[in-house]
Amino acid sequence: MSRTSLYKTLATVAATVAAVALVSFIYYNHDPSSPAAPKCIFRLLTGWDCPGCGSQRALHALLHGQPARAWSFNPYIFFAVPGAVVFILVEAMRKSHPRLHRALINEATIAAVLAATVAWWIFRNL
Amino acid sequence: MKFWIYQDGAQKGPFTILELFEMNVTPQTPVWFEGLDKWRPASEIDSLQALLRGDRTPYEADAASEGEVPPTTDRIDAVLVEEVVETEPLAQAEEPQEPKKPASKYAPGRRAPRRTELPDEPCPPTYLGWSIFLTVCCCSPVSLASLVASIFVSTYYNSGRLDKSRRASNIAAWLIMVAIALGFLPMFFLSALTGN
Repeated sequence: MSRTSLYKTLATVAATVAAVALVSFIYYNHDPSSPAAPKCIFRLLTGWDCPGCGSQRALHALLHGQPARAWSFNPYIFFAVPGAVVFILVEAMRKSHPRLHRALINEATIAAVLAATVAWWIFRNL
Repeated sequence: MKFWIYQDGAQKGPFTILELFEMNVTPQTPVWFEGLDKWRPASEIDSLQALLRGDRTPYEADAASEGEVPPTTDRIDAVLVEEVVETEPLAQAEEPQEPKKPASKYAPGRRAPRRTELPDEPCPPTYLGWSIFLTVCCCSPVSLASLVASIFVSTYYNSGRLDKSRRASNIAAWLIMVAIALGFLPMFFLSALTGN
């Protein structure tokens, strides 16, 4: 790894840690169940839940050490967020690890992700 | 036997040898087929000499074979086309840069070897992780559309159509930005408007 790309990586890691800390701080101190929290536009317009609805409340519950309550708000994020992190990392390393990239990110996985998300979306509105 | 060629900045193929007659293959056109260690100019490949002369007869006879896999694009080297000697090591430097900046180190006036960069390029970003992340935090169905675009990035890349793959990748990136805009901005506006 060359020097500039090392700095780049370090800067990205630092920015990510800072962002996670900031978001955690906000969601620890403010309860998104309160009416002042940002609302989902899809839900405001249609009255249906979107795949991500409940994730703010779930994050709040999780930060307060209540995983069961978080799960009841939105179980989808327990798979989606770690999955997203893995895929973002694999994508970032696609030049150094093209084989890993091809094994993990291909038509089959993306189609499966899409199908799972749509299925969850329909299921939670039944 | 199936052939891939590199033309107009994109990898094309697979072609049978008879289809290559329609593709304006010049002696400099980089060519690859299963079993060749890297892309080579057509003039270096014995079996293509008749093609370069425009003579179909040697190929008409054995026109029927099939079933090759696409080139493993992460192993393909860049070659110096033209007879200029390969003065510097080929593209596999320790850190593969974006292969989009050919020959900029040559001052405009000097006669520089024309360097054709070949698709040793990894798959364009599918932004799969970001799309998934946005389905959670931006609550926008647009991020599902960017997942669909991601599928096309992968499909086109695997069939060797890098240009289309790159375009799908750009579309996915735009959809992600739209998803962020639609997801975040109205959330704050609407919560202000509804007085909550």
